[in-house]
Amino acid sequence: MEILLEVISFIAIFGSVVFVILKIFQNNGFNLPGPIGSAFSGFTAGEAGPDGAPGETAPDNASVLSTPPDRFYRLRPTRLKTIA
Amino acid sequence: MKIFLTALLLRFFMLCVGFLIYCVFRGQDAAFPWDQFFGQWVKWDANSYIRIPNGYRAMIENGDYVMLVFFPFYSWIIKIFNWVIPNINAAALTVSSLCYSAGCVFMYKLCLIDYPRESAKKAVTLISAFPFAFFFGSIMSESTFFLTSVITLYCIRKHNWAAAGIAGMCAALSRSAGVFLIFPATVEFIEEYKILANLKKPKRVFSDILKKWSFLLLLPLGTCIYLYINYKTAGSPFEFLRLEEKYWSQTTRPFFKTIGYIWTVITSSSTNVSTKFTAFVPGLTLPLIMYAVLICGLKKTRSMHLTWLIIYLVVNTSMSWPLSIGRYMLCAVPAFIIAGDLLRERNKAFTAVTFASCVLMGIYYTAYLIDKQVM
Repeated sequence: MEILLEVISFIAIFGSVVFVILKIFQNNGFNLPGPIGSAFSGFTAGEAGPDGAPGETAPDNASVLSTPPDRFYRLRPTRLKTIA
Repeated sequence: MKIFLTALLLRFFMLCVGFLIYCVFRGQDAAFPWDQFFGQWVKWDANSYIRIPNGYRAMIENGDYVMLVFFPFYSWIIKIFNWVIPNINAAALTVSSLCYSAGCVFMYKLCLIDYPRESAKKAVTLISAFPFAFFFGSIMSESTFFLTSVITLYCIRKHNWAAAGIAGMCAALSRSAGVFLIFPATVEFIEEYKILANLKKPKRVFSDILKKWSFLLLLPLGTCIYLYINYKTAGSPFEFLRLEEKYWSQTTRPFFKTIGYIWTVITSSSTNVSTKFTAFVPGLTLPLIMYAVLICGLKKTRSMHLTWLIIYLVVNTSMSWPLSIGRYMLCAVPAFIIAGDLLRERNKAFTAVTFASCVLMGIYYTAYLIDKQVM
């Protein structure tokens, strides 16, 4: 059991570290191929918060289109252009 | 303001509950034990936190300045409040309660940047109902570290690097883990300014590093101040490491080995059952729960939050004598943010988790007040 717990801890942390490193590369424009790339795509919270900071990663198209119209003013014009 | 007042009210309620618990379990005399109750908070590390305002030389044990193992920021704030509140115990409890309340406000604001309001509310509720959340109202540095680390994360997320540096320096002066906030800050910096993608434009990258990232060097400066205090007091900047080993049997151990070691303590016959359940069972289960939350949040959480959670878990479980892991897990802020979002639309699960947490908090709070090994 002791060994099992050690292995679980090790895999959980080091697996997460690898995931985050790949995610950082993906968010810096290094596109990883195919399904691996989509697995490591950037921050995609289901719905953007109401207090989004300037420069935050844009939510995916689906969630933006489903947000109420009054949310749009928070998006910068360049962001809208990108989404369009 | 509403969140701040609600949090403050919660702390007052918890203090009243604490008094009730103390009266029921310890009230042997006819008079209400007010003095004993307030004195009851001065135990374990609290003894040092209320003495540090008089200087690290205020207590000597076998010729060693043993209080050097404790970071000074919380005690400095206590000293300021002590000018207004003459009773140092009351001043320390007030500092803790105010820091926790302000921390809840910044945590809520931090969540609102990326998540819906419902997730933010649930994240703050979960951290407030955590089984060891009563430490936010005790004479411990948890609430100060909670406030400073959350402000740092908030400023990082807002890309206000100067403010992040200052808040981070305070976090680094609150607990040893604070200096590691430089890693999530750097990750956010790399992602925001696409540093890796722009490596071919060294002038731009260098300019970003100089004008923005360089503020983050204030974080290690916080640790350097602490090392200087060690040097000034005992002649060695790393005196605290020697003292931790000598008086607390505390050295470093790989985090995964610590988890395995806790299991051997739980299954051993040399530790009594009460200590197993107050110190070691939470020390094993809570990191495992945090790992599960971390993995569940990998896809949908910002890299800076994931980075901080990973580093926080590793740093706070890399010790040879893991007595306080339950308390340390209290300040794993990203875990509560992830959990709040995971439970956003799962109201029944959220109620169940909160209820279970509150029950456990009641048990551990009682154990703490009647001198069990909750530390």
